[in-house]
Amino acid sequence: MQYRTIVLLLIYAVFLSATETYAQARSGTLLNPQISLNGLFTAGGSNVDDKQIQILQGGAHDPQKNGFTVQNVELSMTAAVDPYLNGEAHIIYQLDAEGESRLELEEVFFTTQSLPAGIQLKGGHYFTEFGRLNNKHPHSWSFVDQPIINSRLLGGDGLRNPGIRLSWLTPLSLYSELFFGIQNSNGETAASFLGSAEETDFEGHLTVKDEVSAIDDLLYSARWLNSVDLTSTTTINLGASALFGPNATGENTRTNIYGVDLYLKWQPLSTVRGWPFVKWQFEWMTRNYEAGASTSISEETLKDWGLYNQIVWGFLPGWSWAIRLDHVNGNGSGNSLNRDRRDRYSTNLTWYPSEFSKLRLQYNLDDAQHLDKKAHTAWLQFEFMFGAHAAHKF
Amino acid sequence: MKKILTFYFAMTFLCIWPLRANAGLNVITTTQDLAALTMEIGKSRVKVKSLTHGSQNVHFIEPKPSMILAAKRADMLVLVGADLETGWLPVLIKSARNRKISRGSRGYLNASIAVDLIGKPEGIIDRSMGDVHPQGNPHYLLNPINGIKVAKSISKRLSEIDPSGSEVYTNNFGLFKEKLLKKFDQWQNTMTGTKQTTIMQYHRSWDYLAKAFGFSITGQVEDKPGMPPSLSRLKAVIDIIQGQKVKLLLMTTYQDKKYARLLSDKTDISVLRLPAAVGGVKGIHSYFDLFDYLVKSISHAK
Repeated sequence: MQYRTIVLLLIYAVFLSATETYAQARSGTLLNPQISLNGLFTAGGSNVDDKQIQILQGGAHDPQKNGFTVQNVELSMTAAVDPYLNGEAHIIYQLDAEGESRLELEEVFFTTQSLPAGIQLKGGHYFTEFGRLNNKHPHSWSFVDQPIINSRLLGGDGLRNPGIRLSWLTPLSLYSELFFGIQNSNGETAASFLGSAEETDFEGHLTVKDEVSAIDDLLYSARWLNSVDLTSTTTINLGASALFGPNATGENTRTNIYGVDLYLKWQPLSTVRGWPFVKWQFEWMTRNYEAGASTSISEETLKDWGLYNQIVWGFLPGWSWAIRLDHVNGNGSGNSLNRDRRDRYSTNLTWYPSEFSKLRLQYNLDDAQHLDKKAHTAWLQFEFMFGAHAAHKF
Repeated sequence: MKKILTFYFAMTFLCIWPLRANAGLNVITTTQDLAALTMEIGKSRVKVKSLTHGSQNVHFIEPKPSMILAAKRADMLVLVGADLETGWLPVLIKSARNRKISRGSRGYLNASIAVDLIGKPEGIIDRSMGDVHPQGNPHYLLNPINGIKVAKSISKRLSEIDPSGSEVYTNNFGLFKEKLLKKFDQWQNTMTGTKQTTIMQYHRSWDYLAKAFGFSITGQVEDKPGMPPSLSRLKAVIDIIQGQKVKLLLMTTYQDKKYARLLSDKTDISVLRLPAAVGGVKGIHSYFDLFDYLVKSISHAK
């Protein structure tokens, strides 16, 4: 009830601010935050039932049932705090698979504006800079759902937690940026680490720890991102990321996650509203989870790995076609729903009537070890946004 | 991992020093037009880099990492303003972490402040009206007089940032203004015949050009700015072209060719796809080249 009131008030604030802004015939006023609202909805159907779909669609903002899903209603605000800091907030309203309303603090953080030597600090509650996709919001994805490996290793909601992060944009002649972060390692948004206190086990290993009791109980992250313009029309980004933290199955059990990512974009100089283009994105990641012994199970290291590889082709103004291949696996994973071998083949066609809306039709073919048949699913997604002009992101 | 890091830091130090040796003021601009104007004023005292290419539609730009790098190193940023770069410049400035070019600092020059923008919408506007620019039409550099105004503000700002060069900047501005006014006379003479031609445009890209050279534009192919015309709009446009005997359709090189083809198939209109900025087609290197090209193309069209 309280949540609903807050959401209604916030939505009202968007309307108010939008009207006020336009009445002054200005796109952004100095003192007011840039406010926007993004709605993301999906309808779909599958040859497997809702229970199976919820296992297959591991992302908390993936469409997770036959029929309609409210994936993500996101209220975003950004503003300069003062001459030193910028602030950003993203608050999400969602109906989960059970039809329950959920309000989520997705991200609220500050970044410094201009520390010397290319240094930038970020603090608050934010998505960890790991790989290319983890810190991207659902409405900016090229597919209706997130890659399986992201759901498995970084969690359904993506890896995000309160903390602080330092980034250094090096003075190299090529773009090269280093990130180092420290965040809390507990909560449902850090599932591979201490995770939610409500979880009683991790793959059969009882959880014995859910608190940070020493400095090495925090989650440490590192990322190295490089970018080169191969030609005036083609740019490539190469990244490597790592995560180190404790996990919940023992007093001294650790989880390490490593990943590499590649992003290549081709876009001719002369385009019609940004078309045509080709975007190739690839991520590979692996997790070593030291699972502690409990009465019925001995200690072991759970090794999981996976990749996704996707290409998006903007072939006609307003239209794009995408294909994605997912592959994940884990050692000795047998019948585990969260660690078994899975292959998923996805393709979609997206139409953008303007910069502020899109319509997407996606097909997924799921081949999972735990399923006795292949799952075929079709999703139709609709997105709209209003308010401040969203930032184009490379 | 250790080896990689050691190698990485070694490379860093090898690469830093040569960069530091470069002298001169680093200016970045959001368009090649502004780069050309800055060059006219700064000449050898500045190094100018345009973040976009003249053939690009400057609204639909993504801030590539290489652009962030250029912004990080810049002493001054010149932008078109009037919301043209609103989708990417704020995030670029945020990512660059460079106090010199942040909004409100001396190195941040919004060139639109120097000119009187036309086409300011009145009353309450919203996005159902398409891509409306609340502060007015941002294609103002297609009026040479606005080029002079902008060049003057660039000269002033360069003098503030680099006072020792202020005499050079003022002098260069004087030379530029003189040359441009002289050329403007010639261009106007060449364009006198155009005043009798009935002209349409695809988008309100050419309002400033029309105002500068005294020709009138009958209307736009677009129904709403920035939105592709619907089928019914295209039918209406065909009626307008035939009814008012419109001879010429002006488009930019980055606007959708298919409408040009469709309209020239269905009617007698000739379509000119023109560069809207310096660098828009090969061979246009300066602000003068741009108008030479535009004046020649439009005055020769029939």
